[in-house]
Amino acid sequence: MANVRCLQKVIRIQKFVLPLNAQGCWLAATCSSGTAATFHTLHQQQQQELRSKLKPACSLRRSYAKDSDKLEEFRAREEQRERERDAAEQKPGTQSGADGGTAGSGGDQGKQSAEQAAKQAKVDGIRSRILDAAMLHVPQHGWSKQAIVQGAEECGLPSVVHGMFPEGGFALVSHFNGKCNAELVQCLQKQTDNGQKEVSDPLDFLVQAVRQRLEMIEPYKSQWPQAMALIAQPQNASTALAQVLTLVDDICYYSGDRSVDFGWYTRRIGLATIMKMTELYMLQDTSPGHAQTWEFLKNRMDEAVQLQMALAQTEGMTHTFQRSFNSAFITARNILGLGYGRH
Amino acid sequence: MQNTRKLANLARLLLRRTSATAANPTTATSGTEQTTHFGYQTVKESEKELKVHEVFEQVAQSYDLMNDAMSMGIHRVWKDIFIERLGPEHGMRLLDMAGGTGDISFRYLKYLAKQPNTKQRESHVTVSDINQHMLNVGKERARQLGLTAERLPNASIDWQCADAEKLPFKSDSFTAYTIAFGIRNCTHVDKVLSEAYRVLQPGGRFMCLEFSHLNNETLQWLYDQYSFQVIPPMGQLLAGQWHAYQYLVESIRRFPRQEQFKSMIEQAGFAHVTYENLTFGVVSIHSGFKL
Repeated sequence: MANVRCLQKVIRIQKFVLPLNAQGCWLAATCSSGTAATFHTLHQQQQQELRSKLKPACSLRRSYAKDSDKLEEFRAREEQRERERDAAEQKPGTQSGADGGTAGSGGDQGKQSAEQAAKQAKVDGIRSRILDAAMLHVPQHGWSKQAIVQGAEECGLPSVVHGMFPEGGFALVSHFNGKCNAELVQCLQKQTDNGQKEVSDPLDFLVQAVRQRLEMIEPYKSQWPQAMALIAQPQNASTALAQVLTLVDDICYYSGDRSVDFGWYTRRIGLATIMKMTELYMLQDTSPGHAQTWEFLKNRMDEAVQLQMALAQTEGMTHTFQRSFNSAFITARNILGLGYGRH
Repeated sequence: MQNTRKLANLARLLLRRTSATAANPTTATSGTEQTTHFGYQTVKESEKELKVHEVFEQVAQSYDLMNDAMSMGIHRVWKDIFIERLGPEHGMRLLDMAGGTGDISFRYLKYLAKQPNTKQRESHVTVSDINQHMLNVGKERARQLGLTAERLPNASIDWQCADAEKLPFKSDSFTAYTIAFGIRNCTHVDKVLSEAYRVLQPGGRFMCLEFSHLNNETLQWLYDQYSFQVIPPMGQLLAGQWHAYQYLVESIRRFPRQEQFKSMIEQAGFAHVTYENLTFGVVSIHSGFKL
């Protein structure tokens, strides 16, 4: 009896804590395993109570299990919302002009944060000006504080502003990477009409995108090993990783990948790995126009596709293996008498 | 001999003060004048400068020894890190305010000596302090270290007695301004900050190394115990000055916290203001740019 009362308390707590569909699943699991024996000993009324509590949870669980139509509708709605948000962001000038006229107690707070945003924008503008000027000195000084100092002096600022870049040479590397990534994304957007146009050969699209991105490194090829060393440093790891993952995500998205399963992760991580490998290969490639690098890239892509196909074929086999392993375990448990009451 | 010199200095200061009050009769009466903090005491603003001056007159001779004893030598590491953060390049014109005995300036010159000077640029540092005694100690140290005009090929060093709230320098004449362990002794910190903004070139950097507040309650308690129980007796033993070091320790606690000081620097017009805590917040390096 105490068990049942505990179970009732747990159900009440769960209702507040877990989301409903997960609650339904959990309840179903507990009912099937733990309380099968005690359920039979329950009073009729309490049984009714428990059943009534379970029913709504189970039905809700069923309603959350979508059909593919509903998923398409959901996706279309979200993409529409994203487009509206982008369009709203496109016109900040007109909006802030209108807001500038209204002055009030609420407006004061808004003005303060607008001032701060303006100051921050000015500082960011100066930072990118210095870094852009410093890029011209990278072939001579490498990705270092010296290049930043030269760039600053070209902008007419004293050398002391290198203090705005405490991470030193890595500031240059991440600025360069960011610029190249943005350029690539713009190119991909134009090619695919902002993700609307259907891509005929996704594999070839990926290969072309990676090739385009790696060709942007060419002017700095002799200093690129230093850049890669800076990227590999642990204090710079978070920024570098974020940049790579955003780039890979963008390329996959514009190639037409709209998957919602685990393949979303495997595809992106696979592409990032291939890109890094090709980058390393390119550093020691002396063939004209880096022809061998592009061949290397094509081969890696083909290998990845083959691996994916092989894994898909064996998926059925792995399920069988799992089930047979489970059955062996359950048989052993029954022999030992530990599984009494369970099925 | 020293006593008469001290008396003369004091007399000169008092004369300056009385002439100032004669010019502004409204501030002569104590009722209408602003008060400020001097450690945990409350004093008139006009008196604070005098009292601070007295403190540093008394401690000037044993200043470096006491620094080493109080911080167990860690102050050297703090100052090394401070100059590393500044990252001087040849061609820099530094104003080392409250530079007194020259710790920051000597480190600046040593750092420059290690950098290759490919374009043969001239660098400069002006050491400035309100207290001539401290500057004299600094000049003597410079002579002992051999940092004279002949030994420094591309750098020059200048010693100037000046009040941080009213600098005698032209606007836009320095590329960097540093003030190490001096700003909490100033009466009007906002005036010091705006003067710093005035004398810096566009793009110039303001850097401040100062004792600050710890975030951790337990460590703050330990630090308080050390400051109030150990430092004044140490001052009495090593320098014969209890009250001077009592003032120094109290003035640390009256100084604003890191975030508040950061907003004061932003108020003065500096952009990209950041701060870095050293030793859990015992000292803090604030930095801002005139952009």
